[in-house]
Amino acid sequence: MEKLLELLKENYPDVDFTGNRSLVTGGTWDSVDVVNVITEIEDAFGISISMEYVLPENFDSVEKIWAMVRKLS
Amino acid sequence: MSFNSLVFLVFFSVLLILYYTLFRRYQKQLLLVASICFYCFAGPQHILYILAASGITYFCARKIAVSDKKRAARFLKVDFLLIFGIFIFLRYFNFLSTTVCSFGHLWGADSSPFLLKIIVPLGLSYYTLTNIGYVLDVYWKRIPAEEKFLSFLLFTIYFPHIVQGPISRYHQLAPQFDGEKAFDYERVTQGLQLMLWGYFKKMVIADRLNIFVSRVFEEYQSHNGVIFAVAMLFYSVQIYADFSGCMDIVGGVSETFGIRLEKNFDHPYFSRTIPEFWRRWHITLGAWFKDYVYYPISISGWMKKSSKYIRKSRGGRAGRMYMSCIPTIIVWLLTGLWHGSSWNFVLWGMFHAVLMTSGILFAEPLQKITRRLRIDTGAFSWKLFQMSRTFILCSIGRVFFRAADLSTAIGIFRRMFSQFGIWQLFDGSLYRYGLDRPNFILALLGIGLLWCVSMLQEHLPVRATLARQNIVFRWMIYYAAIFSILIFGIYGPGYDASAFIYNQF
Repeated sequence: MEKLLELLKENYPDVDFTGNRSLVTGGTWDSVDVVNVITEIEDAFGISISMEYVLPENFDSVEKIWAMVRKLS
Repeated sequence: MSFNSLVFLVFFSVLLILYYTLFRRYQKQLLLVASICFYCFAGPQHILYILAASGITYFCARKIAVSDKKRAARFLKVDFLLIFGIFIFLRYFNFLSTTVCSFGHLWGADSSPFLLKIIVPLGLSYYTLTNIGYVLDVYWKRIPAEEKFLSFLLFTIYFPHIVQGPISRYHQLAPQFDGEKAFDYERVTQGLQLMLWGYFKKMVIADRLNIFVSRVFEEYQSHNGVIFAVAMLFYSVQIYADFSGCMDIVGGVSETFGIRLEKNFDHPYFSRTIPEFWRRWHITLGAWFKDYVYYPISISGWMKKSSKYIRKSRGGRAGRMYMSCIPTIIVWLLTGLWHGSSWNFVLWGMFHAVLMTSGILFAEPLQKITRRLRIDTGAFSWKLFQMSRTFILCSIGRVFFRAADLSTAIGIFRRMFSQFGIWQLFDGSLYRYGLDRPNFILALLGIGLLWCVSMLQEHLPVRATLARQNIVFRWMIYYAAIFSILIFGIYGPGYDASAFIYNQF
């Protein structure tokens, strides 16, 4: 999870990932950011995220993104 | 049966009484029968298209749910082919035929377009999207396939959302049809309140502004300058009052039955940027294109491959920009085409594609400039500037939307800047376009009231607050609204109860 957190902080230095539990549903990230995060994660973890997983709730917090990454690894 | 016709009010009143009395145990069945009757009122022959579309989608979704991935993809393609086939044929056949002929003329061919007399079925654009969204959700295993055809048909044909949306999602709307709903005085009165506000927006504001806007746009060769600027700004308010008014009416109608429709507007003219505007205007359409077009294109294999190539050859930023801009352009081309089968809608879509992609491409440099100029982005003046800029940009785009065709839109822009004639604002010229002085002032007062209520809604739940007030105050407001609609609503010559702007889409 640390690798994921580092990756996200590198791309979004202004976002507080520790306290934010609604990154997408709360409006911190828009669709452009979600696509960007998908690309970065796919490259870093060597996974492929399909449409089944592209749901706002899967990208709402670091924990949720990490749960998805683990499922797909 | 337009939502602002007397026939509809009678239909709705009878239905509401039956819903909570005789048919209390069969509310779902009653809504289905009522929706079919409502649909047949627009033309019984059109029911065949919606029945066919619902039947095809229901069948394909059932097959997808029990098939392996390869077979499921085959059924998905069948559904796409048939549903979009019907949609494209009915909506775009004449447009394509005319376009092909126009290109033929460029190459010296002498042929006239083959045109069909097609009457587009009521709500075609809306139920096409709800059907496709549903089948994709089943394919992506987000929802199970509906087992009962009649339940699925009710989701498609439910009369409050079939004409102009909102574009509902199956998992949000369908479960609400189940179970017996007891009469809830508060819920029913809140629904009626919402309807009242919707009628006010439509009949007092939108229909009044329509008189001015129609006159200016339809006789565009006899006007110029500032008159077009006023008509352009009025049209932005008209389309908002018209469309959001309709959403309030249908939302209120549905609420009286205990069924909540999705929110379609969130005070879009308070948006500070174009992307924010599109998150607050026609929300369900934007969400549909995001979920079913933008994301699938963005994460498709060819998109990933091409963006990887660009990242390697041109750097990470270029790759990211490419990945954001290409799907945005495709989405806006399709959004334009969805709204209408003519080139001015394509151009309107491309206008917004340019605005959206510019926002992505220049976000960083603009942030640097504002920092360097030490602009306080939290200041009210800056927010006001951003809101005005967004409103004006959207209004400019709406000229393509409102004009009869592309050449008219271009002609309007040319005339707008040829002789601006600012004095026309003060010499009484404005009252020569269908609205005399009292009606013009009434239109401005209506806009003012709309703005005030919208501001209030931004900060507090107006309906809930009103519900907490004492009975005398509440009924004063209700009577004021009812009499405003009765006295100041537009019913005069040229009044057409069927003419909600978004009906045509």
